[in-house]
Amino acid sequence: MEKGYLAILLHAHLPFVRHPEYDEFLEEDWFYEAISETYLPLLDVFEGLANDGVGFHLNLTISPSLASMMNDELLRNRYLKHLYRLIDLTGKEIDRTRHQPEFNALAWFYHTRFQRLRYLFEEKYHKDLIAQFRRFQDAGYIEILTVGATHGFLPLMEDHPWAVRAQILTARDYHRKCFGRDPKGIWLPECAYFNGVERFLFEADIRYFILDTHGLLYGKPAPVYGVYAPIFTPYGVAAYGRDPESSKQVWSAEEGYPGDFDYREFYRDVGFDLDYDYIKPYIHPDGIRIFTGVKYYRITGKTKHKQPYNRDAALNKAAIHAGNFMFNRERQIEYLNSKLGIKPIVLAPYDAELFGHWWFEGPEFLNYLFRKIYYDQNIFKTITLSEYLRRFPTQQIVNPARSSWGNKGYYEVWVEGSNAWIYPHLHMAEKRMNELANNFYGKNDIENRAIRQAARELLLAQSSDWAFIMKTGTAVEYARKRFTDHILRFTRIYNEVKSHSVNLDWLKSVEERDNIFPDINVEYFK
Amino acid sequence: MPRKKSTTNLIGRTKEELLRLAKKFKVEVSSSMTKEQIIKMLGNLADKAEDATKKAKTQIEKTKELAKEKIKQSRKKAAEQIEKTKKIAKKVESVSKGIKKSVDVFKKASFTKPKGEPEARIVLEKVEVRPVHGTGEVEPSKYDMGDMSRRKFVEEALGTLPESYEVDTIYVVPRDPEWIFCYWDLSRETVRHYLTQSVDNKLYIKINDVTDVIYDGGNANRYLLYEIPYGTRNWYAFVDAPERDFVVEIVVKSRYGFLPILRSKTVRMPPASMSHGEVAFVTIPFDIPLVRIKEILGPRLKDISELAYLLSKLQREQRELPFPYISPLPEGAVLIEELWGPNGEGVRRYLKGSEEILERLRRSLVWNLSSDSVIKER
Repeated sequence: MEKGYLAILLHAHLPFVRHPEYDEFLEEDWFYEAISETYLPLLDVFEGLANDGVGFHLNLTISPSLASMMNDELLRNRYLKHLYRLIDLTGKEIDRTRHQPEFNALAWFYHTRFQRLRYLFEEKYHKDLIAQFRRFQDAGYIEILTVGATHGFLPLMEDHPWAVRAQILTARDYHRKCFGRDPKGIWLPECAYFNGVERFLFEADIRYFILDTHGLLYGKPAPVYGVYAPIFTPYGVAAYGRDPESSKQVWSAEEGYPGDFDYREFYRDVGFDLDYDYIKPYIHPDGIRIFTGVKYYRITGKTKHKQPYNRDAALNKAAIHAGNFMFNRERQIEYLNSKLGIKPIVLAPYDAELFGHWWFEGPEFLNYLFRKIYYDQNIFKTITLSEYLRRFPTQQIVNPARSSWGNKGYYEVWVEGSNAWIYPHLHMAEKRMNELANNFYGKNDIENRAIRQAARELLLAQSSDWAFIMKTGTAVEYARKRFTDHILRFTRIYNEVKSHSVNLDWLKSVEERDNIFPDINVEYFK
Repeated sequence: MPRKKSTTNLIGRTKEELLRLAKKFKVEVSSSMTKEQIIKMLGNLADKAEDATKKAKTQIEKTKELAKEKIKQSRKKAAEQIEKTKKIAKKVESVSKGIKKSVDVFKKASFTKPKGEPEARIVLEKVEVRPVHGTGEVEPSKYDMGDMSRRKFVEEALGTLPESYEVDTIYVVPRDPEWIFCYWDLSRETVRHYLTQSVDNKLYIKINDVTDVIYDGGNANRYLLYEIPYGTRNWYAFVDAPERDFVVEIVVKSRYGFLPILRSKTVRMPPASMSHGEVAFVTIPFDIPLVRIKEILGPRLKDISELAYLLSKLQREQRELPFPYISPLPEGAVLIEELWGPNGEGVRRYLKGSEEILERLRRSLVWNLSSDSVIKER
């Protein structure tokens, strides 16, 4: 009989980046790389585990903005084009490296890998990733949680309840459309919590959300089981807290697994390493060098002189790390069980895109981990967060603390010198959206259409990613432009609706461009 | 004479093969030459090549040494830089200590119950001490590629965002246990109107600690007052007051005291430590919708924010409910200090963990996939 549970949670999210007005757009690569390195490899791991009869449970958030991109035909076709180009590049690489056996083997590895990804995406999955995740959900292996509709930072909308409500209910609706059922859990964007957000979760019958460790431990009163059991907030919605120990073990810069010298070096990419004229057809058409995903070196050490990547050695290391992770969880769960007198749950949440994209061997680590957990021990089992609450419906009542999982644990990352300027505009747009929904919606078709588009523009402007990118000092120009454009498009619609002078041609072009949430419900903004 | 290694593998070859080889390496030989002569010519070439290799090796060694020297120097430079940074850090520390001191003085000085006539208060500059992040996360030289000036965005002629919406509004958020962030907007008309009543033609931001009081404009437990520089529309106020309540106002000083122009709602600062209190458990079956549970509780439930406590009370009283629940409810041993240390000090350690774990990696992710990083590095 198991002594406790491990809940691994992968948070998959990307901001909605889709630019039909360009033939190619640099930031769309965020999505394409994540498909190649994270989403498809994860599905492949699930498939293998299921085929081999390995019982496993994983919690996965898929944000509605990411799901919208996965469902978008333009992006799907552009991804395929991207993949074909990589197959072509790696084909050429096989020829170029024919006298360098170590690199040649890697060129073959990538060539075969990209061909397999193409087979999976185009032929096996018919370009529909959502359907595949849904398949594993329906088979009971994974539980899919939702996120705010566009990953809006909810505590900064607290004064405008309709804005919080629209983020949550729009997410619930889109999740239902994609996965055929209502979400039972939510990943509050950036784990950012404020007291009372449960009111909106209650309405959506979302039964649990995730907090960072201190969000739970600083709650009132402090939870007697720490973060090793969920709590019920006064609203009756449950909350789980992040286990810092297992997080640190994977992601700590000093001690974390991904920094192992045998793993693939992220920064050395042929997009930057090879002759400009040779690589030109495979980088951005404007001549901007980009990451191609073809990387020949391993981390090697704290040196610039990198050694060639050895796939077998890297996989061997991933297996060792999986064993180490499992061993640590066994000891941790045994200890917690003996101390707390309950079957504890250890929640280990990670950014999904870091498995595979940053940590190339991450999906294989998960593959080995699930197999080892299933075959090699009986101290703990993996579990979905719904299942734990179903089995253990009696929990302590705690009022959680304001918190987020950002730097220093509160809201600073999203409210500081580089990005605080966005909030007067965002809040004004939220007020105006409420006015449009209350006073102008439902009067005539064209204006209704315009108001629905205004809602999309507002949601897109609310994405917490823009403030985050401004803060990190990278891609700032793009983030500023995205935020500003959405607010300005919103404002133009607002003015046109109020003056009953909607420009239909322009509206059509905006609908075509920012086509997220086709069935958006304006009622939520009332 | 011992034959050189370079010629030993030539001896076994036919004259024709040697001629072909000579042609390949552009050694001038003729078919009239003897095999020995051709081998000698080729041997010379091989020796030359060997010499060249040796030279190249020496050159490489030299370069390596040079590189080592350079590395040494750059390490030295880096060490100097670190020293400098440390000095700066020390300065920053002393400045922050100074600030802390001033804040302490200020707390003592200004956190007294205000009486009618406004007094001159210490006005602190808006200061935000940020942690210094490690450098060298990315080796920038790798990204010195491509010309971003060629990248153009499609213009849509949407105009620009306004500086002000010309409405009177104030927004406040408790950013963390130490800082309040606030922004405001005022119409020109409002500003003009209030300034006519001001004794010094200045706007002030007044941050009131209103914990346990119903604020009426004059009964704050203590307050901070800052003069607002012209054009400023937001403020980060350092209060360092976990779990205390604040109201922020934009005011002018009039002959009769502070005259509020804008007053925010009350905000409570987040907690920064663990708290003990009465432990209550409740059974909430997962597969019964919350709305259904609300119906079961009926009019006894005044607001959904009381659902869990009301249900817990009914379960403790062993009332009949249409679903099974655990009775008696567990009491729960308070082991939290054993896990997290007294007052949850262990939690603070992990807050740093959050920073390290996700921010770093997401930053790197964005950095490496974005066009802007290329601009920045150029």
